[in-house]
Amino acid sequence: MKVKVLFFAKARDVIGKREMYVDFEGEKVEDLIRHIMVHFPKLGSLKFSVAVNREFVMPDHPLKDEDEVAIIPPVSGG
Amino acid sequence: MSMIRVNVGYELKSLDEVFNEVKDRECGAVVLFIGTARDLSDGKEVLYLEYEAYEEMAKKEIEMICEDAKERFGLRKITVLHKLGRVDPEEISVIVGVSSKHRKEGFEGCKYIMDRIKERVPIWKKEVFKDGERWVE
Repeated sequence: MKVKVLFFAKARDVIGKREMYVDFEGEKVEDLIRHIMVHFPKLGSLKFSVAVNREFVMPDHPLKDEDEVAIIPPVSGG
Repeated sequence: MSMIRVNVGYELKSLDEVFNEVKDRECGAVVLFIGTARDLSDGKEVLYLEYEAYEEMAKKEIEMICEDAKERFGLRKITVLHKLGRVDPEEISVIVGVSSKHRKEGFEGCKYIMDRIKERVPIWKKEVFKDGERWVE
């Protein structure tokens, strides 16, 4: 499955990119995260939530091709 | 006309414009919260703040918070503006304006919106110091 992944704030600094397409084996958000961590182990040191198509989701949320997944570190607006 | 307007972007309107947008004939109160940048963080001098957002989602999340607050506190009109990019000390980073029949709902509704924004809207603040920078968490 292929999805678009967006990285913000500290996550972008750690990964070194704002977005990328990720091709991975699996069906759920947790499968995708595991795949990304293999290539970017530093992400494991960050706290973050995940949004799919602009909504917060849990790790067992199912993904489909072309979904927009965002890695969301602790927010600090205001 | 929609009673809720949210903007997350690089331009910030003037306070007058926000006031004119939310004031209402049926309302006896307008509450404006104005967030500004501080020049100290844990005793360290902050040169400026740098805001970034997942813009489309941030706008959507703030709109949902406003709908919720409107219902919960009986607010009439709501405008929320959040600045992105560089914000110097004393400059405005966020404005929340609400109108309500009486002041109590206005104060409470405005605080509720601001609290929820800080809790769950994908906007991030970076403090820039003379000798480095850090994402606020």
